[in-house]
Amino acid sequence: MAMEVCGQIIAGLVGKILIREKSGQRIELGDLLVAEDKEGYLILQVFDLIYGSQITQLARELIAGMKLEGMGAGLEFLEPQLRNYIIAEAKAVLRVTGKPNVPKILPEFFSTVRHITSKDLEFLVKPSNPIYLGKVRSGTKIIDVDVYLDGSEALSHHILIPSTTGRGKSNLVKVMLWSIIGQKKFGILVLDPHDEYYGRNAKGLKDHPKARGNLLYYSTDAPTGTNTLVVNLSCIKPQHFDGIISFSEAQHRAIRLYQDAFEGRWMENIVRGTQVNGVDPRTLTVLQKIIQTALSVYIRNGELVCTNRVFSDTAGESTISEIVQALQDGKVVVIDTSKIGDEAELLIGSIIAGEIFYRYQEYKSKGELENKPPVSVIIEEAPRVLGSERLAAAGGNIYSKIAREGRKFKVGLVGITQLTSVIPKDILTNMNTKIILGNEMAPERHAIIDSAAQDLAEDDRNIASLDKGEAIVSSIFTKFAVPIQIPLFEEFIKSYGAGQAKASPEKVEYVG
Amino acid sequence: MIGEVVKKVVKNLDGMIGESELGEPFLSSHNYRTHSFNVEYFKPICLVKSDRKLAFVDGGNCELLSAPNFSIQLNRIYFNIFEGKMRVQNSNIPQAIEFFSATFAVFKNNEIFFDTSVFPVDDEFSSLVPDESDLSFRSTDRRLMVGSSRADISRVASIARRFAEWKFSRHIVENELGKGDVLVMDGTLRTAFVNEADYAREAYRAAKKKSVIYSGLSKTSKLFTTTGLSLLGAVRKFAEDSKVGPLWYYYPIADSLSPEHEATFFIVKLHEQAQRVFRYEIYGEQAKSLTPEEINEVLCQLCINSCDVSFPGYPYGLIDADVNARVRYDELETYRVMFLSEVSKLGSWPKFSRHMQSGDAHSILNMVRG
Amino acid sequence: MYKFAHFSDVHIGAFRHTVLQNLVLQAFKRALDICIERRVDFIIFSGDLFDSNFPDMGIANEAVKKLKDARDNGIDIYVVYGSHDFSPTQTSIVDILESAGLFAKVTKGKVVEGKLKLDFHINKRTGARIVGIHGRKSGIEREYFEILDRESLEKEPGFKIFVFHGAVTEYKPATLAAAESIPVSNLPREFDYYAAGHIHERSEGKLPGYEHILYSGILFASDYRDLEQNALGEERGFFIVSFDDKIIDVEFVKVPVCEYAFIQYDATGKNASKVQEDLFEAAKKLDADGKLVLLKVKGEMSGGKTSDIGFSAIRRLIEDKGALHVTVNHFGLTSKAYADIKIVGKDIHEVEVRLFEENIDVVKVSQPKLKGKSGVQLSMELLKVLRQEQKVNELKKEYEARVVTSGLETMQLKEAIE
Repeated sequence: MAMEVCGQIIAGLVGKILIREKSGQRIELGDLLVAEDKEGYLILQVFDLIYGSQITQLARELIAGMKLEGMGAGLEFLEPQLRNYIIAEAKAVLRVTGKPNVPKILPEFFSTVRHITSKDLEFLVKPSNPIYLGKVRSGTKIIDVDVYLDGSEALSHHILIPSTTGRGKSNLVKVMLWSIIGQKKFGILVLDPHDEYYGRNAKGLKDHPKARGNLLYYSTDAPTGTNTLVVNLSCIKPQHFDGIISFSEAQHRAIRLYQDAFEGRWMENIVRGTQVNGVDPRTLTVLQKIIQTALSVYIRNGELVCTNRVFSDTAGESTISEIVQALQDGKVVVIDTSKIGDEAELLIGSIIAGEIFYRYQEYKSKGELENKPPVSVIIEEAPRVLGSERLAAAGGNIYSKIAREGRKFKVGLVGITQLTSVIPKDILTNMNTKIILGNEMAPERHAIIDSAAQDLAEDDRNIASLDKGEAIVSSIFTKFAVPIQIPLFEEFIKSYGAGQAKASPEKVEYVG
Repeated sequence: MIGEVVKKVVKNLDGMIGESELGEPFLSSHNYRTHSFNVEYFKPICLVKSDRKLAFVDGGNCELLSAPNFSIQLNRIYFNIFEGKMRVQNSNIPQAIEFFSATFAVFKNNEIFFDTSVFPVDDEFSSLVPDESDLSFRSTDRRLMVGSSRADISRVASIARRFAEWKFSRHIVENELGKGDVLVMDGTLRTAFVNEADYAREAYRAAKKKSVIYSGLSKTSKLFTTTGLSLLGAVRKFAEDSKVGPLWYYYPIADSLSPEHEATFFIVKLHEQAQRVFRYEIYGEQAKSLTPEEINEVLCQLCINSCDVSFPGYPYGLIDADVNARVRYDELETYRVMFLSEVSKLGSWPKFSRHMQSGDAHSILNMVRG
Repeated sequence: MYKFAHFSDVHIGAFRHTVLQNLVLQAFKRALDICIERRVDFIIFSGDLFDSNFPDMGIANEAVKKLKDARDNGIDIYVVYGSHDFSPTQTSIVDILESAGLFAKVTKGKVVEGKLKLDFHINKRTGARIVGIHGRKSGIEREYFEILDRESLEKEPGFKIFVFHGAVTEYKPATLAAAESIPVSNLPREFDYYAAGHIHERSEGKLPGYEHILYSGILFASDYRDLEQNALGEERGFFIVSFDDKIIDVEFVKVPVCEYAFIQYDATGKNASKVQEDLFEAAKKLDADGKLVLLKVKGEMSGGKTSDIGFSAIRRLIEDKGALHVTVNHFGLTSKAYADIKIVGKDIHEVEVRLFEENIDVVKVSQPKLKGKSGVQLSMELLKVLRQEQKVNELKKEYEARVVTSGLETMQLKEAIE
């Protein structure tokens, strides 16, 4: 396929260049084509395909009718390749003359185009802090050029992964995390509501050769060698509920009084029903109900019980600190939230994210931020915390704060969402990298396109036709909106010697 | 009311086109000897193997600027070569030639003559275009006049194209075809204009020398029968009534006695699904020397090439030649603008426009009408 | 119904000061007397019974006498090493006492086909099955847990106790968030009791599959931080657990050994003379008689040096008032003008750690083990070795050789040198 001509430019504008396809070449939607000139070359991307014909529409309709009705025996299109063909509509995405630039010229009129090769993409280099995404994709063809994001920049500038169900977003996240583990250059917190990243019963992040010491897994049902997800009630502060649970003014007042009286044990005492001066018993009852509903914490036979086993009055004092320290040490921390409720999940995330955010604020004020690795929080179904309605009803939360301000403090968000349109524009605009997976909903595509880093106005059809594992990376850090093929995780990890690096047991000398 | 009148007209027409009597082929008597319709003259075209190549030639022209006293046209002649359905790449001569022709009214010998100068677009075409000396015509030449009016200069200007077709065809025969191959011009082999017969003879000579069969196929025909029917329509009806097979040719129709039309006529149906039959002519001298098997073989190759679904029964080579010879409106506009620009640069626009405006009232009215 | 006592982190031999050493011993003796009184069936020490693998012999002798006392009263004793009383290359006092039949280590096992198979030790009287894993320095025991054959342990029927010395991640106190630990999921499940040691704070934990994970906490103290916690009201002691085929009751038995007086002073914004004046004032007012007094001074002074403050005089003053012992902690005290040492820490241990952390990168080395966290760890271990004091009746040559050998072992260079 390498240098063979696949079409010829016949007309168009900068935003819509018309290319006649050479017969047999099968130009595809999303194909990257190259038009060479004396100084370099232009990379074009196909966004639409239409039929072209030298025969009029009426004549074609008649001919089709004849064929369908069995009247066309012995008749055919002579020289079909000349008279019926495909016209590809493409736009110039990059001009390369030594280095890549935004294109400002048209390709030479009537110049031929060819399919892109890996040599044309030599400017895509591996950054020093790489997050692997996949290989460049041209249509459905995979070009052997790896695509990375520079983690040190992309993570703190936030990433959005918009996609409908079944398009491979979990696979994408696993591939990204796999490439991150062991680098120790950024800390990643993953709130995993489907318990799909660690690999409890299948291949997952646990199989990474450098998982030991670089990957932490927390679950209420922790497999051997992993950490139990348990958070002490004393770690919860009232501000952690911001944007997750709304309290009335009276409830806020009551909470303050309990804090004053019991400091870190404020929540425990509410749950236990300890009376405090100035708190109406009815307010206390409502607070207990809220805590029971949101956190599944209540008193039974004098003992504090948490039905989802996440919160405790005896254990988990250092869980949050440990997680935060691990993130600061550049580790990946996966928290299995599949068995706990939405609110509990968001609360835990809020606690950790808040802790990191405020710590990093402090580092910045002391001039120490430069030595700290960026930290990012991966949150699924991002509208739960970033949706307009949610923010309007419950007010801002730590996630929206990070989305708006986190960049200054090297704290970022990776938001995964099916509904981009419900996220406020100012937040979307701050999410400077979008890894766009397939989406069949037109309003969602428009919301994505409207906030993308490159002009994707013509890519509506492209995005609608993205198959599982196909994506477009639109980022202020990429030269153009790069179409990629994300490898299947299970295949991807084979090349990394997954699970091979465990210490040989014979080497462990046991001293009894 | 109108509906009633329409019914009357159609009924009248239906009555006038009486197919019950086909009559006889009618061509102008002193130049042709006709043969009565005879079912025996229908011969099937049997498909046989052949490696004869067919070269198809067509020309197109279009007026760029015109006035009663001048006409500037763009002319294009194009050819292709097929072996059956498959195109054969030509290698020796350009596939198309283009030239501008400028025809002027010139007063000489007490008469208005229309003289044409020829300007090849590429030097390569110089030897392929007609001689200017052959392109001088009297405006009162009966063959060119319209009724009792002087010949239309635009029509005269198009003669250059016709001559170019003959000359280019000769070159095609000499450089691209071999023994047994066939050249098919678009249209009849009848020469109508002064000097045209010379061009035809040169082409025939070249064809005889190389044993290339020279022929022409007409899209349309204005020949009649003695009962006022169109000749082609009558033959078709005859074929239907006689339940002739799917592919056939009808011969003889008439013998040409005119040196201006050295051809043998056939009426051919080239595809089972064809809705039309066509008049096909072979250079007379060659036709006489062909055996029925050879005639069948030539027509068989034409049939094989006539299976394109866009126009069943018409050779695809001529469809292609027509498309590529045609000068399209959008091309025209580009050249027109170039010419007008040059005229303007010369400062001659007032002069040109005075003459152009003396003949363009119709177009103004069209514009007014919208 | 049966009973057992669960101790951890006794740290016999801790402290340089005789008073404090004796307090440790006193707590130990008192605790064992309680066990004898209460007729426990056996005692479990989950590590750091001694403060080093080779403690002061005088102190050790006293402790051994008490242990024998308990044995003579029919109480079985089970131990595991802790991070302090274990040595990878030298015989530990624990080994000696085991050989003498004073107690049994419940850590017998071997690695078979990559899996660590441990053998239960069955207490004859009660039928309780006891098994455990030693504590090692720097959390090295983590490797044992990774290869542990849990299944065979979990399948064992009967009343089971798992003994170990190490922090469990889920039960680390907030102050030890950065400490090495193992997740609870590393422990074999469904044991009746997990006798844990190493964390000096007492805690009683309960997680699904691990109903009783208990840290008895340090019995008295082994460093300043422990003393401070005691002074702030932390109760020290051990557990007595009643059981038959299940746990019936867990009782925390306090073992107080002395009273405390705690002076905390914030010197921030004050000059040295003011600080001294205030401290003297506080010392004069203090009721120190028979108490263990802790004086903690921290903050950044506005003027003067720490050496301008007469801490020795203040100490003497308090001692003259009848204090059992006076401990002065001014590691958190700094001076704006004389910021020689910028290292701030709660105690000397923390200060040392931070000093090493701050400066480890200054030394250019190629060995990864000498850099970063492992470099700091090694430095601390070496410092501990170099801190070893000459033993009574130990010749200087022998002392030097011992220190050098320990140092080489710590650096893992002994074999290379030989």
